[in-house]
Amino acid sequence: MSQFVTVRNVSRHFGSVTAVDNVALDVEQGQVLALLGPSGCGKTTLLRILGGLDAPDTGTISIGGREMNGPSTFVPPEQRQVVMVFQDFALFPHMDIGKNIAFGVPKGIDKKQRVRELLDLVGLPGLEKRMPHQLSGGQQQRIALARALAANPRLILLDEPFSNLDPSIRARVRDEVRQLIRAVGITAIFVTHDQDEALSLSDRVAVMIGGHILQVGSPAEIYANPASRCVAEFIGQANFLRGEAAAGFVTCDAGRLATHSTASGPVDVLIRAEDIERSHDGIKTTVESVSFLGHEQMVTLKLPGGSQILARWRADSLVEAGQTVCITIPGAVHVFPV
Amino acid sequence: MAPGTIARSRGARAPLALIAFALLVTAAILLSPFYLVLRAAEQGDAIGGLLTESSTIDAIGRTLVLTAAVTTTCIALAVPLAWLTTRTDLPFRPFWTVVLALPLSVPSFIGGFVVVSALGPGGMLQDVLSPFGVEQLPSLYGFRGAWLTLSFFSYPYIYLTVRAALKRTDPALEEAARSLGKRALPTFWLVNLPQLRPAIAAGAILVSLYVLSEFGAVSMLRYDTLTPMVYIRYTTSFDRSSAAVLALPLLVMCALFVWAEAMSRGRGRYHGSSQRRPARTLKLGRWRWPAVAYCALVSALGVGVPVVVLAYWLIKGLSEGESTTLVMEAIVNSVQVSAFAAVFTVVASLPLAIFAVRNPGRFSGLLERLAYSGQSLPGITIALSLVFFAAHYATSIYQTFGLLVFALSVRFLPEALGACRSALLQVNPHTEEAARGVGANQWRVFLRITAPQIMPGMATGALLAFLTTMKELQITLLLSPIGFDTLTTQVWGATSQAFFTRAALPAIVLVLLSAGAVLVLLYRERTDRQ
Repeated sequence: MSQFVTVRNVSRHFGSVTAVDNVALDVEQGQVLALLGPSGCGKTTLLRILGGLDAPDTGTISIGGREMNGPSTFVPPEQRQVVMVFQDFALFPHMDIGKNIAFGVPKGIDKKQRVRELLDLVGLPGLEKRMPHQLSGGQQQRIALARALAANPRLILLDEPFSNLDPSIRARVRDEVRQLIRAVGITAIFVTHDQDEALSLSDRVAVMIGGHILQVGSPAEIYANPASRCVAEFIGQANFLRGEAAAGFVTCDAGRLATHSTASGPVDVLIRAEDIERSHDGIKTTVESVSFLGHEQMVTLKLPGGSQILARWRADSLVEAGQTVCITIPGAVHVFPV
Repeated sequence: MAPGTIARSRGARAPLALIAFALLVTAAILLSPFYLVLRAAEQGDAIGGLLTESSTIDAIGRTLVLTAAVTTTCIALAVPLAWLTTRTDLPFRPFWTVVLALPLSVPSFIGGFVVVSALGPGGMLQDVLSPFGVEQLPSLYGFRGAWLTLSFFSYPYIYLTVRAALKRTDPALEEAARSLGKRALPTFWLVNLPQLRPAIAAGAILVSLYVLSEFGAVSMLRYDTLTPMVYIRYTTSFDRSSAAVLALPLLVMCALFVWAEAMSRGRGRYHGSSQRRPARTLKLGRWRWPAVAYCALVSALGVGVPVVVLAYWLIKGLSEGESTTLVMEAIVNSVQVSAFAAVFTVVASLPLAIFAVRNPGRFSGLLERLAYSGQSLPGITIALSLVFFAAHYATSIYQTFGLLVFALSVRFLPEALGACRSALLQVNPHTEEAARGVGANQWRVFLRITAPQIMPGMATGALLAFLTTMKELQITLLLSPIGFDTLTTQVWGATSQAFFTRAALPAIVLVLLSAGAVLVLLYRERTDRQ
């Protein structure tokens, strides 16, 4: 399938800091891609570069077959048909909602009509005359999205779209936004540091750390087959133990486990908190501490070898600090050569 | 990501026209000190002689002594006042808050006029007291008069900056100190005062620069500091360039003060938390009434005395049939000059403000700082320099309305720049970027998104520039077209000839207008917090 967005060799330096380091990325038309990474990894810079709000030092970018950034090309933001939805929503404070949305409506389209359509689309009909500060965070979010869509963009960029929302409504708004983007069928790239957000909202996830894109894949792929220890650390609740691998097995504090790879020698063993099971026999561990989360409990266990490991269990049978618990790790584990 | 890093991006590079305009404005401001130095240099070997003359050395000494004395007095007067009006249950607090800032609306030369016309020979007190056989009043001329007059009319600079700082600081710090067992007064010394130091320094620099460039009051009170000496040299000697030489130490001192200000700013970082609660009000208890007495005393001297004295001369003048038509003409002239200067300063400062706020970096920061330094140039140096420049290169514009407006704009551009800057800082740059993303080019973004949001700030800037231009004396005196009388030149002319009744009406008009400016400032202090 043809690539809608193509990023090649893009780098961006700020003084001595390299925010984006020789990045390549492809996004198919109609796809929703999550740029996932810790804060300061360069993901927002990459997003701003795509939007034309910043320019790379080197590299080329084309969107929808048009070269946007190249050795001698820079298409200004207003000519890209790429819109950005900001973390703080950036609604124009001096305009009412109707004018905010109408601002980007292309010439030749009935503005009133279009504004009404979009307000219906985002589920907020009749708010034309309200001012931005009179809306709740969730409503502002949807208006920002409506304003972006009003410009008939070919690509929509969302910068940490849910981080300014109250946690209690975040999940709901996230759902609404996902449905909206799917309904419109627009290509979207969004930046987040929240793995749940990335895994649940996107078709593909690009994990970005330290200015590099370390892995691109479907959410399931990234979770099941992290390409490196760095990626694994960022997805799921990861424990790492030192081990010696040989011939499809690894020996570590958690015993002798089957591995997914044929690596040998010293390795880091990835054991996810959700992969540790309680059992009647197996490795004897001591409970160091427990934090109770309602439906679940996070349990810190001390292995026979002395290292600690975090397990995530249902809360139906609570454990206590000091208690001895037997665990097993069913299934093969990932190892990363050191 | 920090806005600074966004801004240096190539994609968001400032348009060349913007940079060019900002450069031009800064160059226009720098022209005057530069040219003054150039003219002074023409004196060659005579410079050393002029500068080491005993009269020059004495004037420098007097300037420094007066500056130090007034600044110290202002700090001592103002810091308690700022604290009382922000943190305590002072009775009638809102009233004192405003009244204590009002001395700022008495231009120094009117302050001088008030003192001379009240206490001087042929003055108000002599009028009132002579029936009782009082012939001799204590002399008000010299250091004592200048020191007290300037102190009581310029302490509000520190009062306002310290007030703003007190409102900005997080009361949680004080509360932490109190909960750690410190009582109110030690808390003030240990926690508040160190935090206020940058604000006190900033206010003190304002006062110092004010005293340094002071002309009206010290002339009337006959304490010959450097600024009036430069003026006298210019008006009386045949070789006008020698006045430029005398202005050199003035420029050096000014540069030193500005440098000191930069230093105090560098350390002065406020880390106010975003979630600030209003500070707990301290109960004054039995200190309530002494505190009120203190506020009343300061405002009686700074506001009460000028009002009474001006009213006395106004009534006396009106009953003696003093003409008011001349005053009307002067009002029209003043309004005209100030209106032009106000519009000119705002238009000129806008590109500079946009460049500095949206593209922060070393270059734009430098331009901005240079432009601000215009504020600290004594009016006399700007006036002198432009007189020389016009006489040398463009005799046709010498003593024209245009040159007067230009000079005043150079002097007061920083006021408008500050207003435009703070207005721009409140505009979320994402709103501009969002507008570009949905298809608006830079011009449309400015007109539809930026300009409407900064309009109130720009209007405030224009108003401030208007009102401060109105009370400017030195530049107006030197550069006004012949026969062009403004309110300030009228007060000056009448006072220097001891026509106190004639000076009263224009002085009152000026004080009222300046009071308007002070109220605008106070209003802005209130809205800035929201």
